[in-house]
Amino acid sequence: MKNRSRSNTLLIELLLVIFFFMCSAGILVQIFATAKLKSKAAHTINASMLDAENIAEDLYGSDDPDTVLASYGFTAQDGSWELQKDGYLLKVAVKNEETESGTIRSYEITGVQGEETLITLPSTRYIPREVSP
Amino acid sequence: MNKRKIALGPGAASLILIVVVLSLCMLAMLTQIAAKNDYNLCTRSAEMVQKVYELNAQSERNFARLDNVLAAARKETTDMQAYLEKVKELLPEGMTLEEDRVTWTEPLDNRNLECIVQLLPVEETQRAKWISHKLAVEEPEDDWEW
Repeated sequence: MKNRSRSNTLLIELLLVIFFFMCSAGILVQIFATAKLKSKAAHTINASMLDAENIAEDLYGSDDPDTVLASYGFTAQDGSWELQKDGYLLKVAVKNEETESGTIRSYEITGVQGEETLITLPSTRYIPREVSP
Repeated sequence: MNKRKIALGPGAASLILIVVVLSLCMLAMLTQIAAKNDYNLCTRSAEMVQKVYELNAQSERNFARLDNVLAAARKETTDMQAYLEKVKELLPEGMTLEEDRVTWTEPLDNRNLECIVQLLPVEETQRAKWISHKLAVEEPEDDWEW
């Protein structure tokens, strides 16, 4: 009789332990999932930043931005250039501004994920023109 | 023959549960902290890179302003000394001319981009060239000591 009562107590305790373990496991899995998402977001920002920097430097050093952008795989879309990367979209807008003695060529490289802008890098290059005295 | 029984007494399962859950909680907390720090570092790094590129873009625009002045000065004179005098007179605000070099600073928050441009002789078709683009960061003074 005493043994049976002890077994019942143990069984109830085990059931309670399993129940609490399931509850805490559910909460912990949520925490781990949030951490993983945050880590992924950090990785995306980092990757888009590196890509944007590379493109900005290449564009700064080049005389023909269209060729550089095409070599990266960009496609022209409504006046700007776009490239779909793994998890984010890179957009490049090129603007030329004529001055009295040259041209200011401005680039804006933007990394976008959904509606969120990850990074925007402005890059400008001044190309002087020969001015006759 | 002695046969020892391993018995799970009342409370043992609860104790094991407490240990396991506490360990998992610690692990989850450390993972969350590491991920958050990683994200913050990335965001700050991206902001800093963006600021540096903004400074570079601004310096390039100021170089264009300076080049306009140089082109205007070249139209008026072909003598190097007179040309430098004219440039000094027309120089945009914030720029200084020393010998044949024009210097200025692009400020943004606690960062300064120190720019130096060399003016080329009037006989050359190119009017100026970049000499230096140096980024200096003003660190706040520490008010504590080790």
